[in-house]
Amino acid sequence: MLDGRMIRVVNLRKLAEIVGEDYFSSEDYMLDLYSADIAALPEMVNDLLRTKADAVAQPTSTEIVSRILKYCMDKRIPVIPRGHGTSGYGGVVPTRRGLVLEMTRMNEIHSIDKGKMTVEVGAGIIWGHLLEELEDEGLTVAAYPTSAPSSTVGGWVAAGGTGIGSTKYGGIREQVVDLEVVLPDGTVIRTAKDGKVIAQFLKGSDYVFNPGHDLYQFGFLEDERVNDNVTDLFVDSNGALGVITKVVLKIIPLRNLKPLVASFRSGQLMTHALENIVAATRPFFLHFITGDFYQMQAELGLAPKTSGEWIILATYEGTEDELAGEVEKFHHFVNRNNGIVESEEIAQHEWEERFYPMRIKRLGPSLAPSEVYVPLDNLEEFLEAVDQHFKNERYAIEGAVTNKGEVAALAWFLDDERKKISFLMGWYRSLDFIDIGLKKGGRAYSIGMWNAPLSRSFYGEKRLKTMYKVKRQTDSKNLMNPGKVFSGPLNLSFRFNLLILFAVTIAIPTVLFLAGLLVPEITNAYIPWLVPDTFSKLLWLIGLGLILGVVAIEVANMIPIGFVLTMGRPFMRLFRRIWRS
Amino acid sequence: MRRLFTKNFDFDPDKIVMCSNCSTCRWTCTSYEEWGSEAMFAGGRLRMLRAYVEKNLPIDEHFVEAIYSCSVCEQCVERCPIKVPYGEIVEDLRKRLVEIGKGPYGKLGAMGDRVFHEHNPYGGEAKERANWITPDLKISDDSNIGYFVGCTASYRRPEIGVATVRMLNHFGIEPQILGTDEYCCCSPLIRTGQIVMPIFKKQEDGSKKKVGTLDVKSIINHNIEEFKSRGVDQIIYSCSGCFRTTTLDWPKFYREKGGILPFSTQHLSQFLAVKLKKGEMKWKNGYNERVTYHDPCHLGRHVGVFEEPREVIKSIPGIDLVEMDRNRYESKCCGAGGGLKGGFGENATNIASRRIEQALEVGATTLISSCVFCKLNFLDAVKRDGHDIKIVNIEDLFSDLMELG
Repeated sequence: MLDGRMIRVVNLRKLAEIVGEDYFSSEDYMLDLYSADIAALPEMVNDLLRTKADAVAQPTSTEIVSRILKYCMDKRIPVIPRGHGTSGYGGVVPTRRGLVLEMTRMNEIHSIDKGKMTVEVGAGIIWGHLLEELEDEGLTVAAYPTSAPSSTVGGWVAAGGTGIGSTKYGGIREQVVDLEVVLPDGTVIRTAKDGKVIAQFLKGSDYVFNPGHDLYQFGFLEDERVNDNVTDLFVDSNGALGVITKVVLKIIPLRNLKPLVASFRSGQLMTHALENIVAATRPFFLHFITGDFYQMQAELGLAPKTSGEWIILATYEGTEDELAGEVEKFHHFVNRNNGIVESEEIAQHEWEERFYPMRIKRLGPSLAPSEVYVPLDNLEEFLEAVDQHFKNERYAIEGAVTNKGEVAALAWFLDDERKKISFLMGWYRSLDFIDIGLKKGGRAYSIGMWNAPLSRSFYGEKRLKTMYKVKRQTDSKNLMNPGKVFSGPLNLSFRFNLLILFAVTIAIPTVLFLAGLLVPEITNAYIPWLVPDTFSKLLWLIGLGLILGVVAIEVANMIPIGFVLTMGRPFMRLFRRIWRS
Repeated sequence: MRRLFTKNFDFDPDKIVMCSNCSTCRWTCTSYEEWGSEAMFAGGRLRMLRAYVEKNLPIDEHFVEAIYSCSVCEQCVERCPIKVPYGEIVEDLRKRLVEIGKGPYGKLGAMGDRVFHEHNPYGGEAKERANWITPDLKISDDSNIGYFVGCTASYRRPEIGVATVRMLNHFGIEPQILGTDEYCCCSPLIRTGQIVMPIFKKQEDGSKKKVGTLDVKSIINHNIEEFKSRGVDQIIYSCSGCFRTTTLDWPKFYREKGGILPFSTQHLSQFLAVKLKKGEMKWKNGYNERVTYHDPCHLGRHVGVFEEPREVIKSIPGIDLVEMDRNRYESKCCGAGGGLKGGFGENATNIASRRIEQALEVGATTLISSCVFCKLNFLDAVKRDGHDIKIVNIEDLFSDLMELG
């Protein structure tokens, strides 16, 4: 099939019936909107790959999600769950068309348990709404993403990551207590107690779950115990194992927050200060921007008037007494690293700006982002390596320290997506930035689709193996968000497939014809029967070209995306230089 | 880059690429809350625009509907980290749609027809524009202070015009009024892209015959010249839409003629706040109720008038002014503006109803606004959904408490 829809019209009607006509669309203009995430992909990528869904549904209950999944698995329709698509790793980009399941109508706060200090919400609720509602009760969540004004709870759980509050309380993985997940066959489980449902898929294997000891990576021991809690398996699994419909999160009392800002004259001084601050204090959120970032803000008139250009924002949380102690230590370590503690107004301003790093986009007008975890101990080296590597590019870096002693380093490369070829070739920067981080002992920030080749190091071999086993047992046709976590093939667009077919069909007779003209001694000696010197031979060769063209299409559609990105990177680097100059 | 864009829908790509797709604007978007669709908020619309423009898709009814289902309240601009001028973009876009014959949406075009023929979007006869004036109102023909009544007060809510003139009379001002020479301020036309539009008349055989061209510039210039010729150098407004349009849009059209506005503009809430500050205002009666104030988008976010109405309200004896969760720059739209009321009446009422619920949540028994259009929409919501709340504008309250009625 070159470009057939995955969903037949009769199936579309049935799906609309299940979800309700008002919450279903298969119209072209809608599909464009629901087939992309925040990343401004080079337009050419969209021309090359088949990234458009066939339909979009907005389910309003778990029961509807369950019915949809049952139906889709039965009819072999790929399902792509999504929130608001505010992550940029391709986790919600359709790779085999299919049905986009947009979860934002399941956005209720189901219950707040002040005893257990948990809140249960629909997966589609926006973090900002949740924070507002909890605040009214004198509560808050321990960590939330910097995209809180727009991203959904379920989206962050599925994509994984760290955010505001993660320096003290860890990332989303540490916040999730329980999930309601609909498995591909429509079974609804609560991950905190239904581990046995998952365990049955691993029968015959040596592996059983034991997620309790290591919160960071799902580990399991080769013994006979079966743990009922499989929550960790589903966090940051990108919807490849099922659809998250409800999330139970830890909550904490709303406390005083005290933001402090210090500025430094160099990256070296700043990174040393960061190390000292993390060692001696417990910030709620510890964030920095590089001198380049500051310069860009200054260009837009957005930079605060500080003594140095390398800025640290440290926000502390606690009682007045606790805060006083932390503030004193902060001052001490800033001074020791030749930094200046800036005014309260500047601190407040930087804290309020925490959601809006993208303001520098005005200088672009486009931004190409990339993010990677780097050990704090290697941050200085990492920043130097990045500086060396991207000498000809304009970029800014910010970062936030996590409770694992890592820094989530986020680079923003200024670009102009209207310069299509140059923008496409610039894709290498995002990949190289991650590579440098990995070389400095880091790991991928999130997997989605583009980072799927890094799944093994991200999840750890054991966890990935478990995920694979569960996936194979519950979704043998690979219909749940295909191409995510487990690297998938390219699935080229109709136009590109045609181009391959055309090129191969025409190219073979043309090359042979030219060879017959230019080097007749060789062709006559070795392949006289292939030289198109008669019309019937030409037709025969075109026929052969057609067959080879179809074969070429099949082969091209089987190449994994990761392979293409790896092989294509040197060319992108080269062409980027040529096109920019 | 322009060569890659369609010839008949050549929209400036520089404006589209500014948006970062971050969706920060979605959270508080008036239309997203109502429709819950990716196509129905600022960032989504820009992405859709991009898809249509870059892929040369034919402009269909879905596109037009999505572009017109926005009240241009500009909460998105307020939230946008990059400050993409979304309001300007969507109005530009609507203008382009009208130019290529694909807009305006639904029956909104009837407003243009009516303004062309009768100088108001409601279709009331032009000669009846001043019929709301009651005998007790003192109006002069030589004052330097004018009152721009607006179409809604003239044809739909005459009590607003009456209350405003009584208020001015109370302070010894006998304003000039253009009467039947007052034309629409053109706010509904500018918001819906009907800047220049051919006007057709249906013939007996069903065919359409062009009878003229609606030109917003000439209507605006008519109003300006009328005030100028009467020597008015300060105009008071009771309608926030008219006030916003005169303050921000009229200068653009007048400048094209090579001029700057020959008068200053003042909303009546600003006028009252000045009187209060000078000590020239003393309330005759109090208002012993818990009230909340709704910031009209056109008065608040667009022009920046937030505190004056509150100062006036707070000065009323016995009044208990409480704020809704969303107020001032973050105020929620009532749903009436930007052609939403005309194009999507039921949805606009739903939006108003939700705003009223926010007022009820803070225990308000009266919702005060200072825009005739907001009031009209809120009253529709009260009528339909039976909310137990009084809807008044500042001038109504003034007229009642000062016993001017």
